[in-house]
Amino acid sequence: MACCAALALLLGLVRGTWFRVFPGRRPAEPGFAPPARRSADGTTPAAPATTGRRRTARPAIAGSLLLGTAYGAAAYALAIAVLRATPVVRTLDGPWAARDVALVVLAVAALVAGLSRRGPASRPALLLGAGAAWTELGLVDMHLLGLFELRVAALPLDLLLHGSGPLLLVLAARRLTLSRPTTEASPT
Amino acid sequence: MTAVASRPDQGTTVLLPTDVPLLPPATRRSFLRTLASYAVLWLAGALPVALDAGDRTQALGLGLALPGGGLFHAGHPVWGATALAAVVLAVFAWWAAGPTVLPPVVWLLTAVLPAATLDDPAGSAQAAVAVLAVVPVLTVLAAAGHAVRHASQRGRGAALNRRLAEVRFPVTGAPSYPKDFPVVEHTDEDLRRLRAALDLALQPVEDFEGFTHLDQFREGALRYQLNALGYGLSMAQFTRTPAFRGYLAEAQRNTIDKVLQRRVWGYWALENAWGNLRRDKDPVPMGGNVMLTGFYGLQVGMYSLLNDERYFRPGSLTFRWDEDEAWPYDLPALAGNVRANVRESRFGLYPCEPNWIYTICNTFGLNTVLASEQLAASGEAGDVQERLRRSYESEFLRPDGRIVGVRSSHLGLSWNFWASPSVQLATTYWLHPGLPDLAHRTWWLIRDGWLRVEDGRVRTPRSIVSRLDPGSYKVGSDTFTLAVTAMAAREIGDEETARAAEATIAERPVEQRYGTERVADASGLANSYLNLGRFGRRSGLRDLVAFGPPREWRDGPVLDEAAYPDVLVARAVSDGAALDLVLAPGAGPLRTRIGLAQLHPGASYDVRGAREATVTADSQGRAALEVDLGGRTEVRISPAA
Repeated sequence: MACCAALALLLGLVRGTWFRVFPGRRPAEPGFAPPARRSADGTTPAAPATTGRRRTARPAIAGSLLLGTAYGAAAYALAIAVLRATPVVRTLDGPWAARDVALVVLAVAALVAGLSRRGPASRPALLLGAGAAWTELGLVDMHLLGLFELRVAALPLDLLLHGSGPLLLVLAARRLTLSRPTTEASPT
Repeated sequence: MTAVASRPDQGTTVLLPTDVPLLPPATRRSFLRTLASYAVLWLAGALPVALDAGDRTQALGLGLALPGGGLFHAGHPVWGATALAAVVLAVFAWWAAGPTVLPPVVWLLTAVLPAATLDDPAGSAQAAVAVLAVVPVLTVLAAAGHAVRHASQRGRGAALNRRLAEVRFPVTGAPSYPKDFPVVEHTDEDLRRLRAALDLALQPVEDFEGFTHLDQFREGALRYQLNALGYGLSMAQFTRTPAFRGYLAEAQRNTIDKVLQRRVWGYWALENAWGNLRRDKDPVPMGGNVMLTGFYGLQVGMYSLLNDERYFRPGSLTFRWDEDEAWPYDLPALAGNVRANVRESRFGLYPCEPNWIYTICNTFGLNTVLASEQLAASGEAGDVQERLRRSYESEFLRPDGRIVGVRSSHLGLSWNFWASPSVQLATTYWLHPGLPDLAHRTWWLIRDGWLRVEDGRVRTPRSIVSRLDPGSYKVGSDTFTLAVTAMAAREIGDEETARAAEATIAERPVEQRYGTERVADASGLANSYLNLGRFGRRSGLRDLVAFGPPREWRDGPVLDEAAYPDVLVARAVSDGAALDLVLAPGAGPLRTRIGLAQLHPGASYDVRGAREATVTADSQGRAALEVDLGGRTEVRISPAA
């Protein structure tokens, strides 16, 4: 069974990027299964009792929020840059240079501060940060600074643009409500 | 390692077909249909230009004639190229996971959006003509290129045929018992590798610890890992311990049951929806999914040939989606589905993912039919074999003998990348049971031009394809290629190359834990295929799948119960009356009980190597013995004199 190298490379690239964004989601390298046991009559003996439990490390909420803000700001900047190059958006005169500098400073500061916090990433917090950054930056650019406007299908595209952030916030809230403190049996 | 069988060879000359047309019949039909469909699109682009129908209509039409055509025409080459790239990416996704709707939808969007949103969609007449000319010109160039390559391949094929005429391939016929069914003893290393596989397989059915978890569409999917794990365990039983059921049979059953988990086969509901536009979730459909039915059918078939016929019971293989929806199948039903699909397909071979026909997948379909045929004859296996032979020799063969690895059933197109040697290697192995002459010829071509053996080591070309582990999508190591090389070489009878491949792999680091061992930095899939090669023998797969094990093994006494990992079974074979075992302790010296089955009810047996000197079978033909295992221990149970 052979496979396509190009596809494998693409999959590898996507996976690499994904696990950089969500380092806590990287699965353990596959390999050995737990040792199996069968008694002489083919039944499975009871598993040995565990003697202790250990609590998993708490996710770094603040760090994840900051990282989410950085990712959200970067994604927003990229999306707007792409949209401005299309006929969909009309770019208006305005303080673009100051806005660009502020955006870069915000993203870099949030990234540095986020990476300096230790602990596994919290996905809801990442979503929360990204959603908040996306929403706020869109409102500031379009409705406070008036830097660009949508040329076609203004209402639905406006809803889509500004609605993406709140959608992430809703997803984050849902995940936060589902989160439970986890414990994991430790091997004896 | 298994000794090479000394079966007399039936020498056969296998030439390459000299009449492979430029476009084989089924391929030509698909290709002409594609051209006709494109002609409609092209007319949709040409007419607005010819009729001067307005700038936006022309932009739309040109976008239909060429992805991004409207943008190129209006002077936006960067956006035009982006649109073109988007369509290429959509085709790529279509190939990877089967969403048939994606390319036309993306193509349509790249035509409609610019036409609707561009401020000034107008362009020159010359630009319009250029846009309209691109695809026809590229098509003519591609056809010319194909014709030139085809002629060159015919020349190579003719030259190869002159040499092939001198070669007699040793195709093995029906094996005779006992000389063609050698049973060897596991080495310590064999047992460590086998234990790693057993631990994976013996965990609870719903657990998948130690498996690779990537996607469920491509080669890293759980189903392929489970299939390969099952094949390796079955081959170990066939060549080492045909008279041992116990935990070895349970492990194989577990891999079969795991495939029935929705997380393993549920991908088809999605693929069928976005690939065939059908909402049916049944994973054993008409028109596709041989990547499940073929691979799985062979896995179940190998188990059934070696152990019992439980999977012949109706509903024994039930794919359950939820409490309300389930699809009951059994092995003959899987084989019947493969036979029906082959009959219905104008290519003979039929698709894995919607639309995409892979030659390698269809070898598994044939093997499913052959394995099922041993136990429940349909009388149709020969017809399937002949249909597939014709297809492999016409629709999926280049004149120079390279197997075409993939073809689009809708478009008729393939590409050279998928005629790479890696495809030929795997096809050699899996084609051997059903079409052994073609497998031998393919192996000869691989050894002739691609695979080199130097100083007892295999040298694979430093290409990305040979350095890819499809079980993890990682590039950089040729362990997987070497595993498949060992499998194919040993099956074909090229023991020198098989040993060289294994010696090359032996230089790689290994990981050991709890008495088990695996090759490090290789996927679970690669390790399972390493086992399949390690436990194989000359014509091992062919003898098992195409002819089945001897009656003496199926009906004779068997070791049916043993503790794991306390009792490792290094060899277990019956001659129909007596049972010979070689046991070893897996967790230190111990006194343990083993259970026997398939004895003659009420008969007395002499015992050697156990604590009892004699044993009498109960009314069920069962008996138990106590054995002191301090090291390698031979046990023999034979009818009392």
